[in-house]
Amino acid sequence: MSKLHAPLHKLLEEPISELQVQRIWRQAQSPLAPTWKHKRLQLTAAACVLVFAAVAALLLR
Amino acid sequence: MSDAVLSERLAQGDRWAMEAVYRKYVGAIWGLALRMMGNRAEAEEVVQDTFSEALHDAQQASERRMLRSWLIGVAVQHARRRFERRRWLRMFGFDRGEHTHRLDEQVARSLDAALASDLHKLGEVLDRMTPRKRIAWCLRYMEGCSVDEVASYCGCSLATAKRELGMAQAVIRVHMDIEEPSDV
Repeated sequence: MSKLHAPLHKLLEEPISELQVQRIWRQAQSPLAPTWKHKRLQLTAAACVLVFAAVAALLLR
Repeated sequence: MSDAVLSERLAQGDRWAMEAVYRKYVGAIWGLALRMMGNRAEAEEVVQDTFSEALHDAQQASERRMLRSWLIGVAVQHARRRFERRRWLRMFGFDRGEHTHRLDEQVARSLDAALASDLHKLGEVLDRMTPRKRIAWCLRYMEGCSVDEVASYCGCSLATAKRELGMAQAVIRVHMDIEEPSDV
């Protein structure tokens, strides 16, 4: 077993390519890029629909 | 250009400043995301989510003179959400192993086999940790952050950060020997 020296970031350095830089920038500034707030809202809406469907199914049974 | 000037211009909606901030910090956030997530696809998504949120919240940038710390904090939040998602996927058997932490694949090929094997093992141990412990450990032992910075980025108290780090390090020590980083 070798002794690892923290911090390990120098050992695990991987530069980002220019292609990736450009791709991420295009996606990040897109108005359609969902932020975590949008994603949370979507998840909450999906959960509400599921609960509503479950309650409706129970009542109609 | 300094962070203070950039954040002021960012708050005014200056598109040039947005790209300048992105160009200045994308390398640092990419490195952090890649080491924490352990795979390129998810690291790229974390970087995208981080800058997407930063651009949406650009109006608040003037309150954040330390852009780097702000972006790291946002990246840590996104990484944590992804770890939580992984846990759920794993719990229901939907994780097909594509999210496995492969640290050994990130190192230079010239490294010796023993070190590569240790890093592989470290990735496996990190994969079994809870998101909070894993993130705290990565920030401290991979990024070299001080315990205060770990607490700040994780949004918890100093005592909680110390406790999480202690528990994570105890698990890691069972498998390997890692030298304590000197505080910044």
